[in-house]
Amino acid sequence: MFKIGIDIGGTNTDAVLVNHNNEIIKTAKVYTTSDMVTGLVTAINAVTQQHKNIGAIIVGTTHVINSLLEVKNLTKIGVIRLAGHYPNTIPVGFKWPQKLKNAIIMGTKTIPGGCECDGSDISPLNKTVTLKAVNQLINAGAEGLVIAGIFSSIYPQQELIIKNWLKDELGKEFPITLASDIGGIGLIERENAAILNTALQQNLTKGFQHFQKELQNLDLTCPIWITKNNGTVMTINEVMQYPVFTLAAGPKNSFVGGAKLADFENAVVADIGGTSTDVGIVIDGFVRQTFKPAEVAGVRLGFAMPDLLTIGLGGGSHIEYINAAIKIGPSSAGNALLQQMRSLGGVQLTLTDAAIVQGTINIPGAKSCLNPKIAAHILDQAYKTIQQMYAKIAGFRKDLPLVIVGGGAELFRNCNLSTQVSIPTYSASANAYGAAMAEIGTTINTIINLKDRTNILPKLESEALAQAKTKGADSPRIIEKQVIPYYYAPENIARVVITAAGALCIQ
Amino acid sequence: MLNFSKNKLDSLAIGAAILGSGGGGSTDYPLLTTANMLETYGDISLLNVNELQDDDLVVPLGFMGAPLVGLEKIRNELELETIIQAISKDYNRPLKALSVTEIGGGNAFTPFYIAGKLDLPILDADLIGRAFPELQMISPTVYNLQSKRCYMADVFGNVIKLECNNMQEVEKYARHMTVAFGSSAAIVLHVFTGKEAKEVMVKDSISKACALGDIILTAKKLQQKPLEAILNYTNGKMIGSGMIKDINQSITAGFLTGKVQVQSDCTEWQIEYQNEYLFIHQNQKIAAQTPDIIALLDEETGVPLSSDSLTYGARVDIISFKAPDLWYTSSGLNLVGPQYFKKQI
Repeated sequence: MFKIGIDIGGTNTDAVLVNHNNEIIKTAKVYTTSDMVTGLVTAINAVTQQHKNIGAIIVGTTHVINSLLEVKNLTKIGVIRLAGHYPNTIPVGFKWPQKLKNAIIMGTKTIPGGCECDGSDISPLNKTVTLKAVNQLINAGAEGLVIAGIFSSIYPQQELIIKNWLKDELGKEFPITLASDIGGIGLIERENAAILNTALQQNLTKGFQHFQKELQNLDLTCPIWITKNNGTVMTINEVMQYPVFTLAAGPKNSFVGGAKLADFENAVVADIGGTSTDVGIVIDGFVRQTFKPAEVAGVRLGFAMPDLLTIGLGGGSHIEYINAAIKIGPSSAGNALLQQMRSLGGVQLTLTDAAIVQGTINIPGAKSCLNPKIAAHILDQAYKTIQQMYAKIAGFRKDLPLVIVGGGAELFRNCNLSTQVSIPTYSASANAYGAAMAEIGTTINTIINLKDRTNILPKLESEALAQAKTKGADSPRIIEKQVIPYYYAPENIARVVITAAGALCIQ
Repeated sequence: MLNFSKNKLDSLAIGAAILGSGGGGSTDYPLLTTANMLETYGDISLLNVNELQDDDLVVPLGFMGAPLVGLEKIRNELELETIIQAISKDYNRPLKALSVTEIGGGNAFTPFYIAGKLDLPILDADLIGRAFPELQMISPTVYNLQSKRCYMADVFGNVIKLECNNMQEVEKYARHMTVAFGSSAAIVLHVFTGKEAKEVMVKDSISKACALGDIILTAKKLQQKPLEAILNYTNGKMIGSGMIKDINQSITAGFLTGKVQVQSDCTEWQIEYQNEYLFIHQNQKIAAQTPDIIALLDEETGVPLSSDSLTYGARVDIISFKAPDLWYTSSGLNLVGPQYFKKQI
């Protein structure tokens, strides 16, 4: 049995075929197509020719995050805050990048509702007021809605009641995300995530429906998974409903895949793409996460995000001479590399042209177009930038090795690499390999009485482990455990969230 | 007078979090709220205690209750506005300045929510110099300065005035009231004259918290581990480093109380807390205790972890350092010393 790991990036779609020992058997790299699916199918076909025995396909994608970064294909949203005390000190969309805010948030209404921490109403819901607010938002151009209530992750009833009212008014298909579906404590993060979720839903649903159909045509009967923020996987149906849960997955896959390819438990990993480079840290096999509130495309979210640095340097980076000094990026040939690069007769000098001179990157038909000394000088300067990023993210952990991966890793093969630096075999497929290594897990989310803590917690843990095993996790372990006591509840009760996960085992 | 602008917010947040000794609530939303207020009303002036005249009026502002509530029930301006209106009416003369009640944790930001709108400066001082869980644990109690009247307000503009025999009784009744308010209430414990403020307040609290925060941010910029810089600045003690193995917490009488276990290869620490970290036991012996300030710092980033944000598996450095001197006097120790808290937890 084999697994296919796939990464759909902005420029390339990568695929790896992995055997039961997690060894790479075959890799493929094709251009990402604007419909996402054509490139994906080509990549799958390229790695499956001889191996029909596929147990699972696991896809990681930065497609979701890219549409936020590029502010493209987003649905316009109206936001309803359920808060009877009309809080105004942190407005909806506060600190969002202006362009994204203008593209998504059509309007905001604060209406009676919301819960106190003991579950009582701050003020009761009012159907007339609610429907009036919804109509005003829709008249202002909202094509989707978010309902965000105070304490809704603990007491979701009010949000559910409104959703029911709106089903009658707007029909079942109208996109609505409830903040309680996102979960977590912290109204702002929950509200932000719900807004992005609804804004992303419609376009993604179209893409993934197409994707599902194409896969059926390929005659692959194995399950298809998408990688999720916490390093586990979700189904396509889950992704179409909650695309926001995939936002942090893309860079994580590259970092985990890179460290695993180089066989390190602890490492700094630099992922060199066509346009940009991400640098992150892996500690004990897990990607280091930020403790400060995570931001995606400038928006605060309640998810643990990888701690990473990004710089505009990649294989397609434009090179300019300014007064004998070399400037690399941040502008890039991106998807048009083959048309623009000078070695293939184009007009633009890129970082890849320098590597062609050294023979570390081979493109059919490409001719050396630079003085070898200048080429070496350009690549050394790019390598120095990567070293600076290493120093910045490693901080005092100067002992960590640096692993260079990604489509642009080979650029640096001839540079004067120190013993601490490695470019592993299959470095170009680290992202897809990371996706193939994603785990499968189960989350138990329930309420317990803390008086019985010592008995119940171990029981819930073994339950989570057993459920993860049933889902196909190999020797699962607990990756997340949260016990949040309820304030001033009559009994000493707490909400418990336990996630167990393990390697995706296929048979 | 000093100018306080947006570029000091991050330093204040991180410094206040360390001084919170794990309590005082997250500084996250208070920072966002203050950022919005500074954007709306402009920069704030910080007034030094020495600049006060004896008959000036100073009002320390704070929130009491469950820190968790602040992460959900975003503030409206009404709570602080009505409390100030009620005080102005009672005293019938203009206020000179607002001040912080508790520099540790989110309360470091409370007066900033409203100072701009009221066009008042903020005094660079507080009543604790760190965070403590109960209302009587403030400098005026140590110096035996009685409060004539306390004020509480909720989000709907209701104000309740308390005239009690002593701060312990204020604590008792205000705690009940806070529950009725939704477990969070705006509170003013004292209205000081300039003379009283000079005598009892812990001075330069805001500048000191900002300086502590600056140290961490600078260490990060220089790619150094912030731990050493923090220990140097606070003259603190390194207790150990390890991984959080267990968190056993519950809500007792409105406080988050519990024990967190940190383990290294050879040592085990148990940290007891009632909102704030109070005792560290190392292999069954006391390694640090109240009124010392105890901080659990994320090993990689130096970011302090509060008692309500502990996560399983986090790697932490445990440190302790001295609280302001007043807490080590005999009346200070009576209020917040180990004997008092041993009875509580």
